[in-house]
Amino acid sequence: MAWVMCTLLVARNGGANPLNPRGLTAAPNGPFRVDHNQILDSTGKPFLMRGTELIDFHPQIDENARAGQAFGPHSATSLSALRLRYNMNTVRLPLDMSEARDMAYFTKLAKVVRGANQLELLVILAPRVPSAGTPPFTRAEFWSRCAAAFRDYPNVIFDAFPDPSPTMLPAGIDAHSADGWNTWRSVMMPLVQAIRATGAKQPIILASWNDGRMFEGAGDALLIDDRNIIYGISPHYATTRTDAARETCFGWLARRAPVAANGWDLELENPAACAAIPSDPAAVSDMIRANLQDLDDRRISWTISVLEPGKLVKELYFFHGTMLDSGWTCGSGPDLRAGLGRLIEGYLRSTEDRSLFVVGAAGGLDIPRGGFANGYGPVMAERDVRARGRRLPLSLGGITVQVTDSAGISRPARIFWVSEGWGQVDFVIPEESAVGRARVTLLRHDASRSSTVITIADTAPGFRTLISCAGPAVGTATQVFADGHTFTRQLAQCKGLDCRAVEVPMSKGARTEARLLVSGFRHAGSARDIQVTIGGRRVPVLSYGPDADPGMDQLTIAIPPSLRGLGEADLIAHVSGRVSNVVRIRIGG
Amino acid sequence: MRGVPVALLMAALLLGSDPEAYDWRLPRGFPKPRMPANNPMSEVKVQLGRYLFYDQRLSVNRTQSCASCHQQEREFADGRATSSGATGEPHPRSAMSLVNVAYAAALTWADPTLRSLEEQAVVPMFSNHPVELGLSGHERSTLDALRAEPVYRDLFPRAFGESQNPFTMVNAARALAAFERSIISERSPYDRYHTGGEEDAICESAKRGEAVFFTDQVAGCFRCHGGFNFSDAVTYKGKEADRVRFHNTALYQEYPPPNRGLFERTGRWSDIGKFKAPSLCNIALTAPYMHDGSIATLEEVLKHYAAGRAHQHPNKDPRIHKLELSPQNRADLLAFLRALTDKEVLHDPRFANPWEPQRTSVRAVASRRPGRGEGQLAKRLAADRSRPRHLIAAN
Repeated sequence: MAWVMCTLLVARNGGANPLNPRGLTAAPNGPFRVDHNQILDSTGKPFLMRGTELIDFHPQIDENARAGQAFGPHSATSLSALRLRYNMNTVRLPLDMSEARDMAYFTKLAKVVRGANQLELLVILAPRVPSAGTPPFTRAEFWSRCAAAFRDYPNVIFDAFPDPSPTMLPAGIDAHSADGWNTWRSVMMPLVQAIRATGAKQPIILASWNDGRMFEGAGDALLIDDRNIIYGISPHYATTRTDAARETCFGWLARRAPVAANGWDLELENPAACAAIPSDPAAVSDMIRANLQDLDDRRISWTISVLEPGKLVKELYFFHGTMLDSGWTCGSGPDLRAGLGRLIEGYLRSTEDRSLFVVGAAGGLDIPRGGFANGYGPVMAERDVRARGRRLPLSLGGITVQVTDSAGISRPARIFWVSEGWGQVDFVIPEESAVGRARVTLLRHDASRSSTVITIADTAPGFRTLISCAGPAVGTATQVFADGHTFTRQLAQCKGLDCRAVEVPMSKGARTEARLLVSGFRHAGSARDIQVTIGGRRVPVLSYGPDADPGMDQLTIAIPPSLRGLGEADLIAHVSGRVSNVVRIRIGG
Repeated sequence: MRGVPVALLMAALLLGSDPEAYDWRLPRGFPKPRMPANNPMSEVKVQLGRYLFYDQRLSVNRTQSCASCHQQEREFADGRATSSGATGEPHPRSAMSLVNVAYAAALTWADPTLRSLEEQAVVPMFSNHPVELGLSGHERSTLDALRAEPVYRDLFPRAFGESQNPFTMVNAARALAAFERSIISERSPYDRYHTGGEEDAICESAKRGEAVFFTDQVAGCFRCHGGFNFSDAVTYKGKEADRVRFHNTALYQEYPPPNRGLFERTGRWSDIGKFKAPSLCNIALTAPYMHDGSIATLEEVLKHYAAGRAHQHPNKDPRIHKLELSPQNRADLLAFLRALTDKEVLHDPRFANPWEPQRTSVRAVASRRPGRGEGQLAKRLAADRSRPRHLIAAN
């Protein structure tokens, strides 16, 4: 649903303010409970959902080649990009109730849910049907099964009935009258009861009528007799344009109960919805930011757009955010480049749209001291140039980079690479930098500058890859045979942008180790603090520490014989509670 | 004590002849231009060059001056597709803007050998194919005319005091070069935004256009028109001497003589159609475009690059790809290009015609005693310098 609310808000919040950074969104730490108008995690800290929607879960699609590969829409790689690159903590997963016929369905669904939870993403399960008017009893039956399957998942929330339509009301009843809300309660209560009957205690989202007026007219009659209810809204740009409208539709409720907005996007392909937004990209961007800020101010959770080409991202490979800069033509069909992605990314990372965008090896906000960082944006060096040798220069192509740490101390960073135009600058965060919020400033030979805010961490595990923090891990695999001789091969091979994981040989009678090129591991307390999994199975860490290449670390793991024949699988690390990017490794037979 | 003021005066005079002492008044981002050792910049030399630049006595029939094809109100170009000389002979190529020519690593459209403004200045004066100013064979009479002018009787000796005979065509060329070198544009909205840090100096559309311009996957214009001067044929003091690159943009499938670009100099087939990437500073004011002025507007220039293979040429620069821009990208790119316009150059009295009475009373100045004339000139220069400036000179 297209939604850009109030033009009056534009002046108040023209853009993200890097000086007032939001920082890393809190990782979900359930079980959650509702207290007054807040969602509290297991430690009692308030939690706000910030996320997006995934494409619908279908067991047959998730089993096919599209979804099963590294970059499928529900793959760990994609989910990792949402957490690390987009700084989100929630995904909304639409389900097709008609497919949930047996427990096999829920077993497959649980695999996706666990994958998201492992990558620090709360999952909202949101069942829907292809056609409207599904009888409530069918939905209650679904929840009896679904809630039973997920009652022990602390980082799952149930959206009982997304988008209930007033068309289900008897003729002549206004959806926002007392009768209308009584009907709404009578639809929702059996679903709540069905979920609670399974023993599931997670919060439940109950969505407003999907007519754009949301909870207008609900009053006390709305409140459901359950302690863990979140009220769901789907604001429309066309109908919720002013502060007064927002107050009427959901503002009053947000002061009394937790509210979550979901399912909103620009819908550029929908002529009517698209016509309701300004044609100037800057004006749309300002309004979207203003709306996000308004939700922040009201402490309202939200999921926005969809992890789908042409929605949040341009593609499921580099996960580059869609942009409004290139413009759009309302109703002209899908344009995979146009959307809110870059805007959302910038908002959640507290970066400016056209300023530097700095990530660590994992593609995330946290960048390890002593580790390498990639900055994207207006580099504009004298020419494309790569530093030679291991002693990196402090100035390259007319560019210098300064890192001002949380103690206020500025240090020059050593630089690997600079681009001539809007491109990339690769540099090393000075080892002696203090942890915490820091400012990176790029100074050009013409005395102009660009800067942004990053977070320096002691540990921020990232696997080096050759394509945008995803794909095959970079490193070597070595077999050590009983007679002492060894055999070593690379883990990845690229032809242009096409990178493939090379099979790790697993000869019988030999032990196999993989030495991975990583960043952000060197300050881990001990090997015990590093948890590495391949295909979900934990593997031993043999050693870790700085590599010979500046800014890089090495991580050596054993590949146990039990993994022989696993094939290509996800490789993930957790270090001191921080999760790495997801990369791929191929284990041979 | 009496010796101190004399010493200061001597120091000031020495300083005046010191090239390092010339105040370029450059803002942040603009390096010092390179200048030949045998023609150091000085204020008086720039002034002399300015008078010569606008002096029609420097043409065979006293109908044209340098300013005929390099008009201040047209960003020191002439607004025509191709120019014509003093005798009416047409020129094959469009007159290039002289704004920021101090930073040009190669001069004219396609001559890799012509690298100093001093050398270039004599080309229009004496060339016969085609005739531009047509002074060949008229050197003596031209110099006689200059000697007869009170302004020059004041300025030539002061600009070239070290010469026994300052009135030479070589010195005239040096003075012209010095003036041309002084025409630096640095107050465009984009300059103020990019190096001046004025966030509101350009509109949002131009900011988006900047990204379009500087991104390979979109327009990638910066590959040939990058850097502070928006050209890849740039030099300045301290810069390593690069080989100047010339580019075939596939403007034509067959380039007609004598407009075959670098080929006219090298005779190599692979150089057909290759021309210098001109600076895009003030590009919105220097229409028509391309080496032969064959494209009337910036919009049409973008259409040419969007045509992609419409004109295929074996020498086409591989960096030039089909420009696939959305309408928004195109509008933003145009907004960016227009933000490179420094309108102050159009009216800057430092570069204006000094012979026009409303601009200055130079004849009166020159007719006075030299000491007073110097004083007036100094006052004028001081007045020029007191003009409001958007950017603070770093050098």
